[in-house]
Amino acid sequence: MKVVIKNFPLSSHKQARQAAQYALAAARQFKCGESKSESCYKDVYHKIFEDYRSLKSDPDLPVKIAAELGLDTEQLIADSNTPEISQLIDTEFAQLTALRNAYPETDEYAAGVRMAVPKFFVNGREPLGRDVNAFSAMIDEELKK
Amino acid sequence: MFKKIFLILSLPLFLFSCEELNNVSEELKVLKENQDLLLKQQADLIKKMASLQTAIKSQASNKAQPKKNNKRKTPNPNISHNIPVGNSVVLGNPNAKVTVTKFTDFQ
Repeated sequence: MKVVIKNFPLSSHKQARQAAQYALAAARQFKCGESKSESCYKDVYHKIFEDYRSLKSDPDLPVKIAAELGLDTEQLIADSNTPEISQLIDTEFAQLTALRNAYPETDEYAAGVRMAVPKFFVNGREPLGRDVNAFSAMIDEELKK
Repeated sequence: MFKKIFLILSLPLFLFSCEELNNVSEELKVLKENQDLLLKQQADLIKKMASLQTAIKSQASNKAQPKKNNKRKTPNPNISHNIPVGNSVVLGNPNAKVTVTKFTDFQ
């Protein structure tokens, strides 16, 4: 299984977009904590979520986290402001927005995907509910295909 | 002779009892009428109670229905959306058969 992370920074969350930019910049670095083949994205991503409440009052939280993890923060800040990362976030945002009215409403189902995060898809399908059972059932279905 | 006297004596009695019978039957008639009236009223009451019961039931189901309608409909899990990976971050095995896409917001 692979997990694709896409950003959907809500405009009402002021620091959300900047944090996403920092996290994506961290994906360009590989020296953090224990050396490994994966980029530093995951570490920074998890650390931001661990302290997401502080993010509101501390926009530089992701940079502090990156410093603690041993990332090159100067590089991180520079990368976070590149047009590539900004465009990527725009593209990701548009990908979910495009599903807002993806299909007509039926008696049973809503017209499209609700614009709320976190939002998960399993091979493009939205599980019914967020409990583990709904996810594993859908993953099993996809594995059988 | 005795017979004659008896007849004469019993005649008023007979007339009187006829009168009495008439009264009784009249009373019975009234009673019967009252009973009919009561039965009719009772039937009306039963009908009214039945209609009240159905009204309450429909009221209850009316209350239940908007709740059902207000409940947000779920997304259709049978539809597979095409969400290209593009340049997004991929964690795990890039060649995996199953892709979980997560849209997220840090705040």
